[in-house]
Amino acid sequence: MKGSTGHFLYVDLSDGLTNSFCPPIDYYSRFIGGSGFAARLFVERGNFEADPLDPEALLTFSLGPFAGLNLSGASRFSAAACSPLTGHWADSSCGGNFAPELKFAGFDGILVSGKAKKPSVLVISDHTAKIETYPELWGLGVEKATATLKQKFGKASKTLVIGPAGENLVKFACIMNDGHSAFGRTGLGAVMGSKGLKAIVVRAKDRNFLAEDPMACRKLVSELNSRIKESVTLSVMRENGTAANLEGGVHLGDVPIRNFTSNFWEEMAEALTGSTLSEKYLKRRANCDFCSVACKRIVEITQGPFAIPKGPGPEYETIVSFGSLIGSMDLAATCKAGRICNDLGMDTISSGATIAWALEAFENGDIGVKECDGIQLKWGDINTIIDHILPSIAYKKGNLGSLLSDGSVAAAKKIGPSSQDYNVQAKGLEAPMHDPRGGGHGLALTYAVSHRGACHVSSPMLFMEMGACYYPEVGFDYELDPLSSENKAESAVLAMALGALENSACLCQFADREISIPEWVALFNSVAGFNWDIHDMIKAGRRIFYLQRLMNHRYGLRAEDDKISSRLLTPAVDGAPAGIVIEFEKMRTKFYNLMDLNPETGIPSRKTLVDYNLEIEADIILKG
Amino acid sequence: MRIFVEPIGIVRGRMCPQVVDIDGDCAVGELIESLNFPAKLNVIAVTDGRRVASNEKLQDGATVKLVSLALGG
Ligand code: SF4
Repeated sequence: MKGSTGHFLYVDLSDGLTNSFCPPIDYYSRFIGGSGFAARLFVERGNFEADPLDPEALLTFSLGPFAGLNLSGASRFSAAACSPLTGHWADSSCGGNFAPELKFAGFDGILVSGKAKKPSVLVISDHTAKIETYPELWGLGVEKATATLKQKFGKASKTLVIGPAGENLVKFACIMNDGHSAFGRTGLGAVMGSKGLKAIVVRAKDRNFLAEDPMACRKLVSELNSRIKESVTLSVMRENGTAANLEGGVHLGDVPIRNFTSNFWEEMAEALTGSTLSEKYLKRRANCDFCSVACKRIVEITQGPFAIPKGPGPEYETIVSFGSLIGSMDLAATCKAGRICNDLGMDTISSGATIAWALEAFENGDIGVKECDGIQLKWGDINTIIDHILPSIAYKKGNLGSLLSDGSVAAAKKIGPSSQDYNVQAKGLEAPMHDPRGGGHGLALTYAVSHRGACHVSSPMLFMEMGACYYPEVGFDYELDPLSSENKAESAVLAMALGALENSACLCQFADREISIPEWVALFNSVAGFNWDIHDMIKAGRRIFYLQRLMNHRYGLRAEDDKISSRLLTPAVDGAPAGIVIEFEKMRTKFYNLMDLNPETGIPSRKTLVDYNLEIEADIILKG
Repeated sequence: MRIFVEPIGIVRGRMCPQVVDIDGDCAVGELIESLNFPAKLNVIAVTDGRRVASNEKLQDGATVKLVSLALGG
């Protein structure tokens, strides 16, 4: 199988053993890599009964076929496990520089099981791996731990590191790649922490990438790279980062304000938008390996209460999570809050969203100074968030730290039903910083049906609704109105398949907007030799979507769990979407019909499972 | 008829705020088309945080804010 090494690394931390294995060859064309491949490997080797933080739990890192290819947007990879935050199957996607290095070192992924007796580091180099005990790293922030590892294993080595939040099993702890890119969502840093694994380091000597048809691959990659480099929208992103159009988003009602209670705040728009970040604090742009877009930011703030040295800057989600969502329009503060989250190893989205829930709970009197360790919580009080709340969460300190460290859903469950009304989430995952009421009604549907919960990268629905992509070859050639529910179920059928492909091929959803559907097929064929047509490719995407639904069915999720918080379905009170109703049930029913999903169980019929060659997997999962 | 056009967000990178003089009737969609933005920017008009329908007629002296739908983030 070209494009891949054919080898996965298996690590048992309890026994201190590592070995490599070759997954069945058909997994590559059926489940591709990344998110899909990790799911299939879990069905083969994982234990659905294991608690997510139990030694027996399986944590998988999985590359796509394009990792190592010099294509913009191709250097992402997936981490997957049963999520400690949501209690069901989940994965997260990370850019950066680790994925190509792991492929060059000879592996398509890593499976981690067991629990190390002492804090450890997994060290991988050219086709070999060893577990080294490294207790002195335990307790260090991500920045210091990463620097220490680079000192020991060389500057060119690539790292995955957890911070104190992962060590302390905070349920939305993340895993950081070289201190800048993150497996942010679903708490996989806590899974790594529960295994006593502080870090993974990889270093490869050779940098060979073998494609099935090298000539065709080279030609296609060169065309795509030039197009991505010249793209109007991506050049804007290079200039001003992923928050480049935050200001536009505010005027569309897409940007959440004070825990999704408002959809318009004009003064905040310019204060937080990407061009303001560039003007005030940008030092240079940074990129994932091979990507010419370079949407990442390196910032420095030299003065004031939020001064930070030169280093990773916030992207859109972080700016909004610690900006308008918590009622602040202080851009410097979002930079500092993002930097602190990175160092503590916590997902900025769930951190901001959980804190926003707490601010509203305090305002409503559902929690008081007793639950908050004597502190008054106030909208916009970013100083308290930075100085007190974030460290309290990471170290589970005091009443507030222990209340919030399991995420907003668990916290609301403890506090009581009235506080659940303003929990903004789907399937236990806090909603990202796109409000479906303004960002697009289809997002409400894709948040609800995504296997991982409210996630904007589970599909390209946001881009499809905003008119940023057309796929006439697969029937998507109509313009969607973000503020209407019309044609959204039909679009979501395609969006979920494309999302599964994107997350399994591990392509960046910004860069791959410039790639047409026939070019996606040509890429798979020239790199991996799948010999697909468009139909085969879309079928693979849907197969992965169905597989992950089957897994979540095993974890106890049913059709009734395909829902989102009532707040996101309550008509907005201001801004562009004011008063407009999302026809959620209508969209969901149609989506279920089009996808042949049972209205009670939420899984497809046996016939569909057979059509998608999923009988074996269904038998293992459902009869387990 | 005189229209004040105010670009917002990434549209600002494509044009400066400007005054456009138009002879006779003009709908919002026609004004946007005349400004020749790349199709991928998918530019629409908003006013006071509300989206303006493209067939809505412009009034003399109106301010039209232009926003792109193009990026997710
Ligand atoms: S567009 Fe940004 S996030 Fe995507 S691959 Fe390029 S640098 Fe990474």
